[in-house]
Amino acid sequence: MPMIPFLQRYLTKKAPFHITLLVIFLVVSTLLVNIFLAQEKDVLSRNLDLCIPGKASIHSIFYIFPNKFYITGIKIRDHSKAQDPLVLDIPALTLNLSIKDMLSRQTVIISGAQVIKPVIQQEAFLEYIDTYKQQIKNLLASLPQGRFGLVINQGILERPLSSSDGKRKTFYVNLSLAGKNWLIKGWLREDLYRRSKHFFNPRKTKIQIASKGLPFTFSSEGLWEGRFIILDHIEAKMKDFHCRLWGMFDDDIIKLEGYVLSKMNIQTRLKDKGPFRISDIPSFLQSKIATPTWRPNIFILDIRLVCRLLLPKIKVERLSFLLNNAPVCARGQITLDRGLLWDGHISFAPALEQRQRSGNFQGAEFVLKSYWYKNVLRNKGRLIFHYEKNDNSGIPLRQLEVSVGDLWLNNVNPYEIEIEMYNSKLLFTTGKDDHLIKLDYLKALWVKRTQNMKFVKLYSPFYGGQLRGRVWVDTRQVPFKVHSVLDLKNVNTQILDSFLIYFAKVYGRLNGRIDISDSPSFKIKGDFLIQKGRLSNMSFFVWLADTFRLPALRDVPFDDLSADFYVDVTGQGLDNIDIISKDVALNGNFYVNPKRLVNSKISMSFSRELLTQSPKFSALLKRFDASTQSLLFDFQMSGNQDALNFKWLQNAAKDRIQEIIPDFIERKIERGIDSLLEPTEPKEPIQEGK
Amino acid sequence: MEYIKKSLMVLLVLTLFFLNGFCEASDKSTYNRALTSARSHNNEFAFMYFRQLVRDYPNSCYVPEAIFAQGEYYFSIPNYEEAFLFFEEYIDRYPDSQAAIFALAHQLKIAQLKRDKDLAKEIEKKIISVKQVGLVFTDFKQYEYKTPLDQKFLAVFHIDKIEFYADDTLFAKISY
Repeated sequence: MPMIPFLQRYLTKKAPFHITLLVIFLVVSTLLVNIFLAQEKDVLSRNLDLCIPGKASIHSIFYIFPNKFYITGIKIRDHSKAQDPLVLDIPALTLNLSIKDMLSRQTVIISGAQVIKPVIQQEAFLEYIDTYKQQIKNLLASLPQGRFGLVINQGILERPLSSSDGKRKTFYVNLSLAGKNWLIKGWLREDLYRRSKHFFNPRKTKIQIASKGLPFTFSSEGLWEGRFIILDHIEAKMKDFHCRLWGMFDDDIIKLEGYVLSKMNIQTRLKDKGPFRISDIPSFLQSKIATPTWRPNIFILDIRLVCRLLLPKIKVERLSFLLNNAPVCARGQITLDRGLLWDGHISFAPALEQRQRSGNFQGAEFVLKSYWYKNVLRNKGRLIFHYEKNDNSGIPLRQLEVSVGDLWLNNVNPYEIEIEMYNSKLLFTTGKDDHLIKLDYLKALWVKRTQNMKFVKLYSPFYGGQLRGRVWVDTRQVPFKVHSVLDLKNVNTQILDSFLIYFAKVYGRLNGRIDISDSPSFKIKGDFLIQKGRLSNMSFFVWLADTFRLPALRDVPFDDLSADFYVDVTGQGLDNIDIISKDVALNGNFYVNPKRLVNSKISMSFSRELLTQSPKFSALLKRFDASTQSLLFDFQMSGNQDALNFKWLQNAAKDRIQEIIPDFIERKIERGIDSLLEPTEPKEPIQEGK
Repeated sequence: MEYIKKSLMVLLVLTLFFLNGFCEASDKSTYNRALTSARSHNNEFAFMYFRQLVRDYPNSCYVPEAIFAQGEYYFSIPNYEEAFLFFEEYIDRYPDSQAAIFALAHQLKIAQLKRDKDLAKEIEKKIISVKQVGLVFTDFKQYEYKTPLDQKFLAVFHIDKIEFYADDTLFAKISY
């Protein structure tokens, strides 16, 4: 029988009837199913509640021919909490059943789901995950494996909304599972929202997106085989940020490799374009047509991570990467238990080109215990910075060690971080000497003023006085430009003990200002003033006291002691040294170059009253006029810092003394000085010259 | 006056007797031959005697001068590499001797001639550290050394510079 005549006959005679019957059947059966679902909604809701951790409820459920279920008003609450907070609100959910499985295997298998506009209460959701992590794990393990697709559309990550305008995160997720393979793609975006009154009901407010944020896109692909997972890639992209990792999970061992590229806002000098010419048109058009690209300036390459997953602990056995060609290594342990705890060791060495720029900086080690929970970072440990022994560098620093008893960083808002530090020590080594500064307490506020300019304000009770400081960090270039100004007020000079080991002991209250900057090269400069203090055991005064029997010089009370100081690549020094006291006045300068060679000129004036205490000077003073109230001695010092040469410079007082004392006494004094400078093996000079 | 002269003679004889006791007769004769050659400006022979002295009498009290002399000879021909090594040996073995600073001065001159700025700076630092001077009534202090090859060396220490003279000619200078 020919096919077309039969179909024509069937379609014209019987088909309308059969189709109508089929439609009626389908409509009726759909209605019946929906009536059944409406009646059994509470039972379904209860069953759902039993399956899903927490308290779950649905508003209504509909069946759509042939294989879809449409569920509305799904709400999940955390009933372990007193307020029974809402964790997840899904206005609408579509479930797709697999017709193929229904027909071939007579089983109902969900092959796909589409979640529309779910609202996740971010903080409650994290707590919910934390509370029911084991039940969630069991639920996911019990789900049947097979082809499954999940799309979450226009999801919202909600924080407790304020009455004013603010930000909210929206997201999109597309997950495909096929056997043991997965593919997930999506994005997350932070939008600005605006609240406005509802048009029909002024008591209600509605939320409108004022402007969309830049999306953070992510994707991941891989497969799992029992306890073995191969991660083809996990990728995250944002404007000026790109991260890609790959590797494997073998039971509890994780091995990952990858890279991170990022761009910080670094100011680049714009070229002076000059007048526009016709010849510029092709390049102008090309620049407009070309795909916009960005050039990263932070490269984290060759990431190699080996860690062991012992949840809630992750043992980082080895993490190494190159941060802008600078090798970084870390090992330690991360604990994910109500926050994030890091306990480990991080080492950093600057890249060769950075080392050339940063002088003698060799590397750093951080032995830290850090705990991050709800925007608060708490640290305990040691930060050690190593410097090369480089005589050509003016910076005498060899090692800097910051010992932190307890350091709190509280991210109060995106623009401010509160910092508190307790029981800290700053130990730094210059040459062979160790210097220690103790900080019992320090409070600081980090302010992000603009994208490129950060500001830190700090305060600390400091050796009985106060330390106040301001630090400016300019992030427009790498390494960052840092400029600090520290003010010291009424500080006990005990702090100087470790700095003036071989020089003197100074007692008094110190006021001063320290200016530290690292651009164009590292430099410290400042000034200080010590008032109503005492200068004890100053090496030169001790020598004078012993030689000329002037015991008063061993301990010199003073009214003011002031100086300017600096440390930079050209050396270190004290300028405008000025000591004012009743019997002694001293002023001058003292410079030490990077080769530890000294260049100094000092003028000292001793009162007549003081000098008359010395039997040697008292005889000499009789030859001076009675009007001479003090004698001025000018000295020049030079040579090796550890064995200074000195010269008594010519001035009126010296001329007068030379007139008074005979030549053989001069020679005797000279020989005495020589034997003093070379006490172990005195060598007589062959000849002396004037 | 006559009595003083006689006393000095006795003292001189005793001193020579003591010195003779410390140094072997043959090494002394070699040393004397070396000195005689040096004074007659026959530096090659002087060098050979000094070398023989070090080789044959390594424990002799004349060895320090012999080492210095070999350095000085190599410096004069000029073989700076060898000279530098001999002065280095001298400084290592006799760092506290009066001639050590003059050995350093030779090394400094070699570094300057070879235009090795880093080495010159390093040696300058060593020279500056050798001696600490205090100038109370004088403007400078000077130290003299008669070298084994009969050169008169002078080190003049000012407050901010050191000058070396060889036979009254400026040999090297350090300013700081």
